[in-house]
Amino acid sequence: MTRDEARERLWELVFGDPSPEDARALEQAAQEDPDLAREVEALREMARAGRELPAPPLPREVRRRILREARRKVRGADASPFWQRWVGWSPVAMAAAATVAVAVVGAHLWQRQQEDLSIRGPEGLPGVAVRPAETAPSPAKPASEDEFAQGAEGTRALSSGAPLPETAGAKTQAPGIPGTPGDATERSPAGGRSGIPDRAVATRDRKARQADHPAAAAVPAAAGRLEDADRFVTSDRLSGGGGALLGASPEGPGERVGGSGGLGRGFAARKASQAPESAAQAVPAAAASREEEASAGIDASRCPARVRELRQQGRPREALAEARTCLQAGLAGEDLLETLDLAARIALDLGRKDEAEEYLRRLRALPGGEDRANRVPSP
Amino acid sequence: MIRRAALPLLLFLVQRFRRSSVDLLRGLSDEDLYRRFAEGEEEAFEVLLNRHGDQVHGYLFRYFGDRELAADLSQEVFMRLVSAAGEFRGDSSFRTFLFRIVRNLCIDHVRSRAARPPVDSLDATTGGDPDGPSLGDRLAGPGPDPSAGTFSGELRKALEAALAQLSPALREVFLLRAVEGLRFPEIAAILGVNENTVRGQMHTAVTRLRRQMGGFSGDPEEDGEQGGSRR
Repeated sequence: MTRDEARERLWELVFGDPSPEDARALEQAAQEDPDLAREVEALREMARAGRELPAPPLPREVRRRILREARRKVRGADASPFWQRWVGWSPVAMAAAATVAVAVVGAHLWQRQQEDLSIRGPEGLPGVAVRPAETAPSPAKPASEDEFAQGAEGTRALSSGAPLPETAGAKTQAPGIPGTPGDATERSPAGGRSGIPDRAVATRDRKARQADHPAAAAVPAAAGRLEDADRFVTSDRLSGGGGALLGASPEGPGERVGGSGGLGRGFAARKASQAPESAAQAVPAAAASREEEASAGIDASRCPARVRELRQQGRPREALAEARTCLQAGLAGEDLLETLDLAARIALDLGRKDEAEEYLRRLRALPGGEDRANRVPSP
Repeated sequence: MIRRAALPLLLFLVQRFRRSSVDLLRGLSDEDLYRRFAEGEEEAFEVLLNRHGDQVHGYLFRYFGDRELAADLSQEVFMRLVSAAGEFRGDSSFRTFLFRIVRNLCIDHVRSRAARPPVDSLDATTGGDPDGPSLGDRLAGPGPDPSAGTFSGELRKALEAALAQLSPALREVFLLRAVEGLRFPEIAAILGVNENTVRGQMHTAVTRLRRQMGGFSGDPEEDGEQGGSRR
């Protein structure tokens, strides 16, 4: 191989694939001639530089798109089940998505539970059963003036921190449900002056003890179910604060069995008694309800306004819940009429015809309520 | 608590199972993987993409000197590969098949932008934007070059500049051979030409690059424009 021939084919040493004989001949020529050796070295530098040319990796997003297309091709456009798309996610993304999903579902369930507890209403919503009046050991009996006075005194005592007066039936067990003191309503033989739901009693008792309140000594801890009581904070707000008076409703006591909430009890008591409202009862009822509201932290005069405001804000569910709370806490006079009217309308808006009819029925039973009820669109 | 943890745990296990099946596929040849993909095994395509994705993207970047264009064309290449899964008969190697797609796409793209000014020099801008970066800038990449100022860095820049001045056909041959490491028969199959033609084009490309690179490549004054077959 001449020098010129070798020079012409030197590139093959670096970039080509010469036969072993050619390669040997070219290397020998390069060893013998320094110029050729320098050229071979320069070609090798070029090859090295070529291998070091920048080569950015395929972008992740492009890679993801390609794989998505490939999967679509294999499975068909709409054939991929939802979980298979998740599989392609990174573990971090999956964990984040799962956490968000659990949080959302949990928050939703918790909110619904709270709502159910706070608005469990009169129409036999799930978990609320009303024991018929005939199962009650004593017939419904309106509270006497003395009993109201005693109840009011109890409330004042609770508010002021003074010891509560002894009540005759405070420690009695519910006669209608033997052996179930925790589920029974304490009731005085006289007709329910101390008819406080056991959980409310327990909660109140605990709170009083925690505050080192003297009244704690006078309030019986009904069945020691403090854990249950803790779960029904709202119950405490509604019935515990005015505890001594809750059972003193003019309609008389009732019993509630089953379910777990303590909120329907006031209504259950009224419903079980089915005592007709009368003008004679209206005065003590109003007095009792005012005290009850005051102790429960509900301003009766603002009830209709709050309900109306919530309704106008486009929050009918909350408005209805507020109306239920107000009605359960006890209202009287124009506030009661207005609240029942609003509640019926909102229930109708929400498509709850049965509930709306119940409010209308109650509205019609009140003096001056007939006209209002007639103005409400018929369910 | 258990219920909350169940879904992520299940998904984690499914993904682990899937990963292990991908690991098993890694031992297969490209041709087997591509056949498996054609039969509906999507994980096989993932392995192929892992093997050749960066190579194809790197080749297209070096060929066009445009990062976005390289990404777009890479996606198009693999989309065509997905579509052509049923057409692969195994007459050629998978790599030849793949780079044939790449080349056809490059030709399509070059033809489609034929009306625009050609990118022939380092100073010319790419992408049709008169104020855009030049091919040399694009090849150098967006970040600071750690080898800038060193001999190898300077040599690389000189090679990039020289490559940008090569004709597309010669650049293609040089990249396939010197950078991607394909053999001459493979390149000939990809380009659809005689193997000797490829060798001649390679010789021409090397000669022109040496001349363009000047002092970086020995003594080029005697190199001429001799292409053609030398073997």
